[in-house]
Amino acid sequence: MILELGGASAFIQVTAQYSNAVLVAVLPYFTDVAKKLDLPVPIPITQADIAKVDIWPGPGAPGASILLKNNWSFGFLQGYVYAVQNTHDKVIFDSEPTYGPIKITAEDTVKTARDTLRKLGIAPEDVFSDFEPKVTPPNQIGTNVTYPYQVEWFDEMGSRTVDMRIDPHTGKLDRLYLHHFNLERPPPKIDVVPPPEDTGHDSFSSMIPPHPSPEYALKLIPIMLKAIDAYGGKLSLPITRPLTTNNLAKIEVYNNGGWPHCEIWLTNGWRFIYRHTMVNGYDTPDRLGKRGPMHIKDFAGKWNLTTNQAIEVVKAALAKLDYPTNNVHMDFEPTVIIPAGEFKKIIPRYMFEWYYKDGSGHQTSRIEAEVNADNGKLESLFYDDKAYWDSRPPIDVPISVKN
Amino acid sequence: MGSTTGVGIYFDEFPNGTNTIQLLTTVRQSDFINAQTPYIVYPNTPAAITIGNLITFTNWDDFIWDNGTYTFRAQTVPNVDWEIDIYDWNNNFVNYQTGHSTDGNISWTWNLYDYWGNPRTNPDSDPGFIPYFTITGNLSNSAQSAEAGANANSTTTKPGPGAMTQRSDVGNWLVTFQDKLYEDGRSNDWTWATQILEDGINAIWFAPMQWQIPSAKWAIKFGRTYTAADRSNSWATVRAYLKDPSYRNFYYFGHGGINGFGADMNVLSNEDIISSITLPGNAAEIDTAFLNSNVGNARYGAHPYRFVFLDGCDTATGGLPDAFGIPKQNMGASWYTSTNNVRHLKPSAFVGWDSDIEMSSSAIENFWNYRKIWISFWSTANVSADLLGGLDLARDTSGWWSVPDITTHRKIYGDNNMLFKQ
Repeated sequence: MILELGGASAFIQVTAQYSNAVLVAVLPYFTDVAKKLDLPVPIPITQADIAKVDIWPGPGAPGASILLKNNWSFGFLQGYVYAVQNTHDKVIFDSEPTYGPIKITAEDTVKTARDTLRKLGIAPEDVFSDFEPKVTPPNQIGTNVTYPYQVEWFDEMGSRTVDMRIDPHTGKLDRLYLHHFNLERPPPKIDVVPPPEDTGHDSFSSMIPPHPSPEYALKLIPIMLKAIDAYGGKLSLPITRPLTTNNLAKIEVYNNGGWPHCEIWLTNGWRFIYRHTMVNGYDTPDRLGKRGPMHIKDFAGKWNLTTNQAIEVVKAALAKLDYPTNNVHMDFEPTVIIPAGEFKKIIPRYMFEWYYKDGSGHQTSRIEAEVNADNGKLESLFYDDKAYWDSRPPIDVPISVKN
Repeated sequence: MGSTTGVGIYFDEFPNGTNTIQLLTTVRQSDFINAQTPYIVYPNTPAAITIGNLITFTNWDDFIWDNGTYTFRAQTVPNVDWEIDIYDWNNNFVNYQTGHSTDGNISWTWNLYDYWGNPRTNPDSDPGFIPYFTITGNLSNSAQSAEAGANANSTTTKPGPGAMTQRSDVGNWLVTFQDKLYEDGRSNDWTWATQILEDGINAIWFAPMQWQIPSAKWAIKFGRTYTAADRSNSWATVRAYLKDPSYRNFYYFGHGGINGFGADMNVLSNEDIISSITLPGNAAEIDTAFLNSNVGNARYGAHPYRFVFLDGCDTATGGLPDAFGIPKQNMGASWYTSTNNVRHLKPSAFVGWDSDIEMSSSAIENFWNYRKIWISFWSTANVSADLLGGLDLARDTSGWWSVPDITTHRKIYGDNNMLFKQ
């Protein structure tokens, strides 16, 4: 089990040694893509071909982007090449028009886009290119073409997974941009360990943010597990009871201004939230809105519940948890989030938000839930109310010891 | 909006004739500005009005967009001699032209050179020009003769709207934040949160500077430890920056609302910030009325912003994008070079939120990781990562809030494919 006390900066320092090590590690990935797409760049791409390098210092590292001397550029992050670009393209980069007839049709453009993905070995279901793309035709003013074809695919929440720009005169690829959890791969091994980010002060390294003390966390863990047992029992959740540390994958404990905010991951993928002195909610591994890979087939189903029936599922769960009714505020229309575009036809999920504000507009209560409208399962639930904010767990040591 | 400010209508930008006008007065009913702020709208009875200006500017171009020329256009009575005198932003004479109009249309395409043969195409020294239209003739022989000074064989002079220079580069950045947002009104020590805030702000502030793009950081005085005058003066500085046409990029972190952003202090429950308050009569906020009149759509000095990120609750819900001169739709990159872009706007983008955002204390580090990931990726990647790419990466790797919440409540208007240096 991993125990994390407080957060941490997601950034590192890029040293010369680290930069060199990353560059050596990522160049084969760029060469591989250049070969597969038959790009007009030197093969293999070596350091001698590079005009500029940026090493990514944030999460998902190792990552790098390079600009070749012949103006092609490549980007690598999270274990895959996320971008290839012809920076000669003045239309994209300098808004300068090109001239001549448009020889390529929209259909040809989509075919080129799909062929590009196929050559890269990207499965259509990983970037949702087995669905219809959005194609923006080129702008043409007289004999000037002021923007190329743009082909985009989007995921189930409407977030872009593929963006390609294709020259309308030649049909050649000018820009490829990819982004989705499904594309992430194990990163190449980098032997140089970079130091953490230097922010100019020691806010992260010296616990100036009052991170919880290990002593406090160790006393809190059994209290939380007992609370999760009781919570899971009331909702008849399919998790082991009683929970032991053998069932835990990770616990994060934060000091939220004198009281704990905790996230508890079980080894079976469930996650629970514990704040103040109560379990506030959970996510199942089947939740649509999680950060991670997803494929449409795993979420496809039928819309067997109406919105009102799905809301009743949430109400029934909260009723089982037996909160004082005057602290549960859902007697108004929630915000309803459903999958985007054509995905709403095949992924039967409702995400609800009841953000309750008092007469002055202050948010004092919050309910969030995801309902699987195919089988009626409550995939995610979160409930909090100002009424509970004064309570503290019975722990006889301070939550943080500031050094 | 205070009692002494307002928004004018320039009737000479409408065609002459009979029109209908209705006054809608919107009165805020609470000092707490957020999506639930109650407003009452008082409409008066629509009234028929007759517009009869001697000189009108119904097809005026706000911007000098064609690099080499700019065409002044006006409409008046037939058979007049006309003269257009151009003055620069410091009220110095630049050039002039004369002509005669038989049909009442006045048009002169200026080559952007001054009277002495010097090019006047540097937006830094010439952010814009003001033309003065003088007409001479029988000005009483039309319906427009009601305008003062319009008599037979007489002369009248009238300033036209401003002709503003388009930005030639990305423009300066202004990075602002409410400095004590995490500390105000709280009893525990939250200085650590302010340090994290400042780390994040510095990352955004430094990003343009790595490309030698001027960038200013301004800590807006916020909270109970300041006097009301301190807070108001601090916002006056923000207003002054926003009126300066050399600034075209704006990041703001703090309390937001539908048609304005800012506040005097936090409203708390225990140690939790649940809202903010803008004190009556104070000026610790900026609203759409100010922005429309001085920034995105000003009659004189319009300078649409290139990039705006209003990082506070509800900022994408109302009129703030349009007030900065950024279309409140996802236009995509290609729209800006299309004929549909009749105002000839350069690529621009607005980022905001259409709801409350996750501000809990335990999320502070991830909140600022999100901002640092977005700005670092967008500003440094050689592959010209676009704005959407930076925001998506931040959403998926920062750990802040949830993917559906961010995807749903994050609003990107204008060009979501905009590049950092475009």
